[in-house]
Amino acid sequence: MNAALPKDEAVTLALQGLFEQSGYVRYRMSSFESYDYYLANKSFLKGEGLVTFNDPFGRLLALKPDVTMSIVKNTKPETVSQKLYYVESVFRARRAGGEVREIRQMGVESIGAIDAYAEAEVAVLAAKSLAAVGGETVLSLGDASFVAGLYDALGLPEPVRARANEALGAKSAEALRALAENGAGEALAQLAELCGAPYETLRRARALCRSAQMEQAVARIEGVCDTLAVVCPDANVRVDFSLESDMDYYNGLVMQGFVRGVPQAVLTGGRYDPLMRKCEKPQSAVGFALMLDGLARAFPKQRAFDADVLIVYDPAAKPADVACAARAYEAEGVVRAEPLVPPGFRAGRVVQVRADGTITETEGSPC
Amino acid sequence: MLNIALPKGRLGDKVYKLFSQLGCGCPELEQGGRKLVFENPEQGVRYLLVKPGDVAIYVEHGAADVGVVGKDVLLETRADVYELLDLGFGACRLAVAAKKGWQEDLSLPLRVATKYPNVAKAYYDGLSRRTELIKLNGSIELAPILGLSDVIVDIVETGTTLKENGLEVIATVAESSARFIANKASYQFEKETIDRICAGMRERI
Repeated sequence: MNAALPKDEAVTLALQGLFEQSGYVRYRMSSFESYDYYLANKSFLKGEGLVTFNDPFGRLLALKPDVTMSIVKNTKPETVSQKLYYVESVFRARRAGGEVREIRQMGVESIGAIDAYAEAEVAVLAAKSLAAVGGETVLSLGDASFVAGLYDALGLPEPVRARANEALGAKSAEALRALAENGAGEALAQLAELCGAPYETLRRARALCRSAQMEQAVARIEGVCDTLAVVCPDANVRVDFSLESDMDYYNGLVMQGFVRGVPQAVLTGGRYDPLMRKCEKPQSAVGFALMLDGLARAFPKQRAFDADVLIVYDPAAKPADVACAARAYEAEGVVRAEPLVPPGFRAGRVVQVRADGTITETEGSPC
Repeated sequence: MLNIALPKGRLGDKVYKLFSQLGCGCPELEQGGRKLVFENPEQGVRYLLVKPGDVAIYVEHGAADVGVVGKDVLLETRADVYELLDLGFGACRLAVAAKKGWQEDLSLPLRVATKYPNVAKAYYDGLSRRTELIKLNGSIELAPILGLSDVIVDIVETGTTLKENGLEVIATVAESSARFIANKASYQFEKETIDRICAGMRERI
C-alpha cells in the first residue's frame, strides 16, 4: 500500500486490486437517474431523502442515492452469474435538518444462483477488505432468516415484528421480553444476547432453533465461519444475531464490519433476495459496501515532516536543473520544490539548487 | 480506556455511585471542581460530564463508549446506540398536559409546546392529528397558561409542577427511566468489559 496516500485512497486502490483479482468487474453508474425508480423503492433507503433536481426538459432526476439498487435495475433477468464491484459516491439528504451528505463507498455484488460457496466468497472478500483497512477490526455475521424464523415460530404479528426489530437493533433484552408473553418473550430476549465468539454463539443459537429454517440458517453461518477460519485465519470474526437486519431487504447472511476508531459500522451487507424480487429479477444476490469516509479520520496521516526533502531553488536556476534535483531525491519519499521556504514548513532535509545548477544539502528543518 | 459519558446533575451522581461500586471509581471526580474530564488510568476509565440531553450524542458518535441517559432523551434524539439495560431509576413519563377543563377543538391544528418536538410529532402523527409544534427550552408549563399553546408534551415525575400551575395530564406518551447505553462499534471491541459492567449493574438495581 502506498504510504504517501491518505488511508481511504490507499484502501480504495488495494481493494480494487483485490476485487479485480477475485474476478469481479468494475461497474460504473451515472451520477443521476430518473427519480421514479427510487420513489418506487424508497423503503430501501431507510428513511433518508433524495437529492432531486429538474433537467432542462422538466423531468425530475435524483442524484444517485444507492449503488446496489442501480446494479439490480441493470441486471438482465437471463443473466446466469454477474460479479461486480464499484467505487462511487452516493448522495442522501438527512431527514432531520435536510442536510445533504456525500457518502463515498466501494463494494461488491454477486448476483446469480447464490449457493453456500458464493455467500462464503463474499464474506471472505469482506474479511479481506477489513484486513486491508488495517488496525483492529471485527467482522460480525448474522442471519435475517434465523430472526424471521423465530418470529414465525412465535407467531408474532406484523406490527410487533417491527417493534421487535427495533428492540433487537438496540440490543434491548428488556424491550424484547416485554413484547410477548412467557416463554416467547424469553426467547426474544435471548436473541439479543446471541453475540460473541463464533462457535460458542452458534451452539447457543442451535438451542434456540424452533424450525428447519432456523437450523439451516445456523448451518449456513457455520459454513461461512469454517471458510473464514481456513482462508482468513487472522480475521476477528463474531457471530451476532442481533445485527440490524431489515427483513424487507435481507433474507439470509448479514454482515457488519467495524474498525477501531470509527464509531459506526464501516462495512454492511448481506444476502438481499427481497430487493431482487421487488425489482422483478429472478436471481439471488449477496454483497457488501465499505464506507470510505470514516477511514481518513480514523487513520490520520501522522508524518513528522511536510516533505521528506524540500528543494529550495534560486529563481534564476534552470527548470531542468530543479527537475533533475527533484528526481534525484525521489527515493527518499515526498519531495517538494519551492523558490522560498514556506512559513512553518517542516522538511526532513533541505536541498538548495543555485542559479548555476549546483546543489548543496543541509540536514533537518530550516524552521 | 473506557470512556463513560455521565449526565451532569443528580442522575449523574447516582450513576457514578453505581460505577464506583463496580470498581470503576475515580477519586479525582469525587473531589468535584469544574473539570469536565476525569481519568483513572489504573481502572482504565475516563468520565465525561456532559449535559443530560447530549449523552446519547456523545455515545452515538463514539466520543464515549458507554453512558447513562433517560429513555425520554433516547426517544427524542433517536440515537443509534445499544440500549443494554433499564436501570429503573429516574422514572418518569412523557405526557400530554393541558389546563384543567380544557376542551379540544378538533377543527383546528393542535398547538403543542414541548422540549421534545420529535416525540410529540411522532405521537400526533400516529393519531393523524394536525399540529403546530412550538419548541421551548424550559418552563414549558407557562405555554398553556399564557395561551401560547393548547397542550404541552413534557416529562412528569410527581405531577406537582403541573398541579401548582393549574395543569393536568390528559394522555401518556411513553414511560421513561435511566438506560445504560453503548456505542455500536465500541461494543464490538469492548464487549467483555461492557458486558461485565452491565451484569454488575443488573445485580445492584
